[in-house]
Amino acid sequence: MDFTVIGDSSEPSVAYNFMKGFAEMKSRFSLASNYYNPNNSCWEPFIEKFEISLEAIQSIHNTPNLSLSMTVKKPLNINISNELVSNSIFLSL
Amino acid sequence: MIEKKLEELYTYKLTMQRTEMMVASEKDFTSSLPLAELTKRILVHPFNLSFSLKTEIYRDQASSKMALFRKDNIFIDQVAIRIASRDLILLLESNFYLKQNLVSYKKLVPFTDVESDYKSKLNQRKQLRDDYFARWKIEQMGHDVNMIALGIQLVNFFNL
Repeated sequence: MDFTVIGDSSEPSVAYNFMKGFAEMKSRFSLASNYYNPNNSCWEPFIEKFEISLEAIQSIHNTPNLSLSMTVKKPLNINISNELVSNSIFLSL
Repeated sequence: MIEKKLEELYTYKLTMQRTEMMVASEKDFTSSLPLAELTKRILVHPFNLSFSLKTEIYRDQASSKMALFRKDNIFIDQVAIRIASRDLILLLESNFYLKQNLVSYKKLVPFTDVESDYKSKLNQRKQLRDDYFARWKIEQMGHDVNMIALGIQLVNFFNL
């Protein structure tokens, strides 16, 4: 089985900016997971690639506050097949 | 206004090209064969990594205040980590080998005391450092980190 985190060269995967009294962190990456199906001799998707954007902003001016947001633009598709379940059971034995 | 008066304090850059991690038997590693011809298993496939750190300061002579701004840039290439059951066995074997061989290092005689000349120079440097930090009130005002990571893939394959 593989787990893949995919970044993008066009913009930072993680950007952190701190100025006195203010801190901001932005992160954008994609996740995917595949498993090997020995019957078809190929890799099949378990979690299809989806993109996550995370943003955290902290300010300590006047009233300290922390704002967190997570955005997933596309639906999260998880494929649970007969092969995946039987492989998982086999591995856990 | 402050931006124009910023002066560079120090910059570090680290670049690692074709970084990889592999396991091989002792026989292969101690042989005179070139690395490419060894029988080995690659755990972390070759990837590039670079890191740079730049620190700039703004000094206010009148108030002895120093504002410090730091910028970090990190680039991590695509990283592929592959671990199979055979690799785990090899890692356990190598751990056992290392433990056996590190025992010999415990018998080494530790360094003697530092020479007095060198010790006095070290003390002078320490004094200079203490004086500098006593004079300037350093405050970190900004820290920017930009990391570009092209991705990481973890593949495990267990053949029971």
